[in-house]
Amino acid sequence: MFKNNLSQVYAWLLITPALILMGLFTHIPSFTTLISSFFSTGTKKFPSKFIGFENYELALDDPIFLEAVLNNLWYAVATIIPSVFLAILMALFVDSKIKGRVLVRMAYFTPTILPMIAVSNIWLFFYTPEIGLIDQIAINLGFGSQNWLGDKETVLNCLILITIWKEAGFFMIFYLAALQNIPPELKEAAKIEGASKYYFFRRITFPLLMPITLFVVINATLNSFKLVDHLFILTKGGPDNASNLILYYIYESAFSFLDSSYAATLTVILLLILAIVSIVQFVLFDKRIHYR
Amino acid sequence: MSFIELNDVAKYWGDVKAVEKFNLEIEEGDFVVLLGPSGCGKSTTLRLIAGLESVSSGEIIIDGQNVNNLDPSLRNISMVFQSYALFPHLSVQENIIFGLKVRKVNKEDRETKLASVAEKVGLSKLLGRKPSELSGGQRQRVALARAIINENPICLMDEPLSNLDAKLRHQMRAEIRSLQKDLKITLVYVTHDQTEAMSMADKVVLMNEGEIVQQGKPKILYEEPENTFAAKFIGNPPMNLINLEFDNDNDENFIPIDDEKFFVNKKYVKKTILGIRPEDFEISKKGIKCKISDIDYQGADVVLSLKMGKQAIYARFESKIIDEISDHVFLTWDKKKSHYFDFESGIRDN
Ligand SMILES: Nc1ncnc2c1ncn2[C@@H]1O[C@H](COP(=O)(O)OP(=O)(O)OP(=O)(O)O)[C@@H](O)[C@H]1O
Ligand SMILES: [Mg+2]
Repeated sequence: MFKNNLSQVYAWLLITPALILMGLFTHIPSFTTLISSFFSTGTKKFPSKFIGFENYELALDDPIFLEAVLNNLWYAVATIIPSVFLAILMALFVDSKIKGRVLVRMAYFTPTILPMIAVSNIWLFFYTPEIGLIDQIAINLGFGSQNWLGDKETVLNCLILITIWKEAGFFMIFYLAALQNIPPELKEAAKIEGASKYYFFRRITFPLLMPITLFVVINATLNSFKLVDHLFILTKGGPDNASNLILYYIYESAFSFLDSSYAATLTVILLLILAIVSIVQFVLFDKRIHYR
Repeated sequence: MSFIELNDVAKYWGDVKAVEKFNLEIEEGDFVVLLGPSGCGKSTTLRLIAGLESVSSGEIIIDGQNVNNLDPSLRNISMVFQSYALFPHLSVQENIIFGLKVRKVNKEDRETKLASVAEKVGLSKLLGRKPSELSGGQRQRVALARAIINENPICLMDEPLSNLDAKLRHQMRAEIRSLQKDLKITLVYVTHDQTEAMSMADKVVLMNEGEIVQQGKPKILYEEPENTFAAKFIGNPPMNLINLEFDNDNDENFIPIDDEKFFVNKKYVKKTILGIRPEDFEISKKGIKCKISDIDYQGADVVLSLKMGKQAIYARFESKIIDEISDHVFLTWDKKKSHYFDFESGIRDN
């Protein structure tokens, strides 16, 4: 009994440092965020006071916020699916026995190691009207000039393209590792039975990659709500909020409009969205995943 | 013309020789075992027959057709891998009928075949499980079932029993053998375990360094090894190989024992090797005195490690002799059971 108690004490002592850090930097801030979302932002004249769900009602009526949410949903879907698809393709490609595959792997991985800010600068050079790379080619081919980042129609998709470009190589690494874990005899066994490459991929490789796919999709989802560095360089959410994303709008609310309570409210909503999405993904995938 | 023929087949990986000068004929319905030490090219040979590797030179003929460039799936073969190669996310049932589904066999036929095969290998109650929920022996059976459900005339197995414990291995040997006879499959089986080879094969193909050393019925390999490699590889413990000296005065070969010469009634002018199986020794007062260095008690039998002169040998006896021996024994043997090999080339020279 005594011994048991002692080991309990040890256990608690051992997790205490981690608990303190987590509490200090994760749980307490989350909790205070939740609290402050129910208060108004204090100024010298009007000190902060409890206003219940008023901030939330405000948010749901805020057309900019709603546009940011819609933008973000499209941004998530349109980055995740192609980047996962590309990642699998690239992984299959560099997993095969081609010459110079080490070089190709590195080439695919390069966008991942660049900071988002650097990436934005590179793409700025592509997208700039008239003198940018895309326009130079387009003009030489006889097409007109296009303000890619200045046009409401194209701006969001341009950002999506950058994100896909950056993320696919990263996800490829996970798929590549998983592919190399699949014993080569499986392919041989299927080959002897006469299974085509596509059939083998559909019935064996892809299902065996499911745990990775879940991991990658959740990561990609979180990233699509978390990663807004490129907005600062490229569009600042414009034109006319056409490329505004939730997190960037939260940042604007807090630091440009100095409405920290409203920013807290939006943060809580964002957390809610993320939690729901993650749970749905887990439940959807769980039925089809074979963990080894 | 034989059912499967390998004519002068060779396989190289760059400069590495895996298989060379390989000539083998396999009759329909035969159980052929490729036997040899690790790295001698057994798996490579099997994979060449399967079409998972292509030959560097020579030709492989199956049922009268040159299959050198034929896809594995068109060679009418099935294969059992050492690792079983089961699909981990598919149930036992889906694993077994994988090939039938690939070939779009209709559902009714699939179910009938599945039922009969599962019955044969004793998996009927486990069809819904995943491979990870099976024991090693059960996985082995799934691999077997997957191989036989296609009713291919040829089956290739690469060390299928090496992951099983001794008892189960023994049982599976008999089962595989009876399945093979029942279904009249031509079976090419790879192992490095000579006991397994001897007990299962119609024909053993003994390999070393990519080449065939000797092929034939197990009895032939045991009784008439063609060279010292075959002599040393087969038998447990293997055949004793004793270096003989030649005595010019008596014109006869002898075993040197300290200062004495023990003559063996043979006249080889060159240096020669005498081979005697451990079980062919007898204890007799007239024999050669051998010092016992170790006694390995195995139940019914006992294996003695002995020193015959300076040379180490093994002898196998019924274990009841154990009470009668102390630190040495006197050994003789039936001269008809002597094997002689050339000292330089190692080739049989009886
Ligand atoms: N893919 C490969 N690339 C290069 N060399 C190889 C390859 N596969 C086999 N070898 C070489 O060919 C030779 C024969 O190999 P193989 O796998 O056929 O041996 P084995 O008789 O099956 O041995 P084991 O009993 O250990 O399985 C070995 O020297 C091996 O190193
Ligand atoms: Mg092998």
